Amino acid sequence: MDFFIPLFISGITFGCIYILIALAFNIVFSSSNVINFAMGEMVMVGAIISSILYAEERLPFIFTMLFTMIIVALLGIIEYFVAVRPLRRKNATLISIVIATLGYSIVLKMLVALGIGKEERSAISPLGDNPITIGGYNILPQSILVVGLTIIILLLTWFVFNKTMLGLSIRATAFHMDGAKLMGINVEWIIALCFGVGGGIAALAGLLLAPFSYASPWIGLTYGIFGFAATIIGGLGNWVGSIVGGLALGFLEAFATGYIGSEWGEGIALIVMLLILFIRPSGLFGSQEVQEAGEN
Amino acid sequence: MQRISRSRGLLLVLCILLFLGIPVFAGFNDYYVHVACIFGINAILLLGLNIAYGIGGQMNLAQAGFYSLGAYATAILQVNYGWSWWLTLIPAIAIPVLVAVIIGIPSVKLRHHNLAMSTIALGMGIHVFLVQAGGISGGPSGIIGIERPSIFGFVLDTETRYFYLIAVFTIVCYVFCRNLLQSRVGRAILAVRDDEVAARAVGISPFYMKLLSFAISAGFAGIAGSLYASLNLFVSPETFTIDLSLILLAALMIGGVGSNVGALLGALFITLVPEFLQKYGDLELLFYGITIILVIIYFPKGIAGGLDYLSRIISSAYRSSNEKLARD
Repeated sequence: MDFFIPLFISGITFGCIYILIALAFNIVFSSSNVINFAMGEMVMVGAIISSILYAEERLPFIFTMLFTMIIVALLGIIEYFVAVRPLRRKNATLISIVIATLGYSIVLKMLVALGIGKEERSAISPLGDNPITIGGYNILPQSILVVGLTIIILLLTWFVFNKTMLGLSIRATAFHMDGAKLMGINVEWIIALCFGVGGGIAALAGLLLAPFSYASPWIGLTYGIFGFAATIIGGLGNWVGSIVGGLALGFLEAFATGYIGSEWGEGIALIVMLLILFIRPSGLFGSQEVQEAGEN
Repeated sequence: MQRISRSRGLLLVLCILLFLGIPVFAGFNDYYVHVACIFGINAILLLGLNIAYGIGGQMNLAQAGFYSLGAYATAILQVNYGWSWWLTLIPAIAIPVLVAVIIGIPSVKLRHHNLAMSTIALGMGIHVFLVQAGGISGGPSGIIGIERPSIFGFVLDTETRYFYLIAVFTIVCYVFCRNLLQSRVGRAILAVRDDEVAARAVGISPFYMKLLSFAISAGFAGIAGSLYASLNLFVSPETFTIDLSLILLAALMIGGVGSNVGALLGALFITLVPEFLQKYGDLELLFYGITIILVIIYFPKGIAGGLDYLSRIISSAYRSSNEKLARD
């Protein structure tokens, strides 16, 4: 039982990070039916830029956060115009769009590796490393920051998507693209915006996870896969599902690491994702229609 | 039509002779012959990937994983258990095929991004296993002390001798793929790719055809892996990352998806590009990333598609000039 609470806390913390990545996947998917395979690399870019600005250059945290998110959001928008839009205009198959995003992910990874450097950078938490003791258990302040920011982001996206005109346009685009065009919605910009917002949220996830491990150009794929796994567990396009999926994956990884061995956490997450894909590709909470919409 | 296929057959024989002559043209220079060996291995890998992705329409980003299973099967059985290379070839093919079938049974039902993600996860899973299962695979440092195979006591110890073994396998694999495309099974696989419902209507099982194309693809990767282990004399997990799967995909797309000649052209491409970009370090991977995007947007049929287009223009011009002569 001694391990249980710390593992639980670590599960929630990483669960929140996976929720953010899953949210990023879902925002892009729900507007364009595209799974952005470069999402993992956007997490990586977020982690690296933030660790340079905050840990090395000692710039203010709020500035670091906003700057990182804007830069990566721009990378997402560039991705849409460079890699995805030309294919959509040619009515290319979904698999060619997937391949194009994979190509973009390599480009991002190698640009960072060649331009910024391949070394492992350590990041620091804005709230310091002194654990807070609650009820006899030590909690890292960074965990609280992660959970807090995740909740804020979730509420903010919920508000934007459900209560604003912009959100209505995005939902209209996702629901019926031609209909949305007829209503005077600039569909291209809405989708580009969603790629940008997805990138920004992925960058935030990278910024938040960096202090727990390190930032290097090679960390992207793992987090991308974990975020996708959380999305799949919850069901593509199902936002509530991805919250459950992210937490489930976080707990699973934490407890697998704690009770079986740290080296198997990654393998177990991969196996769970494969099982979900094989048994119930629409996810635990997803509806069949969403799945099929994604396949057309 | 007769003339075209005869001239193509002639071209094929010419290409095979050119390929077999590489060591002679290279003056038996070990370095160039080594590059030719790598070309042969890449060609087998890409011919295999083409069966799954090009002909079967099944995204396969686990090709590097299957390749590593073949390489490790040969390495482990040869170094730890003293098997001869020829004997290790059997498990080197069987293990990837078995994994492909086990994972393939549930995953052929998936499509698009789900299939792509599940094969990425499979490739990553194999990589994690090779790094972590140090007792079997030697962990991150890999396995050393692999030997070159021998035939009836004749050891293929020089690059040139070993090249001819690889060349024989490459040619056999190419002929297999060429015949597969013209066989009943090959046409069935193509039919499933083009229209699953129509294929089912004429009595083809999409499930078996997809599984078969996935399994053949893995088997080819196993052969390539086994050849690679004995060429390099050393295997380590870092050769077989997801990046390699992506490079193979890029190569196939550059060469031409769905075409066996395209697979060979792609193999030529990824064999030569590193030789030229070597002095620039890691630019290679960036180059592939950019090419993937450009090729999929602007040249979805690759070099082979371009050649096909050219040959069609030439042959139609030829035919129309013939008709003109006949009319006069």
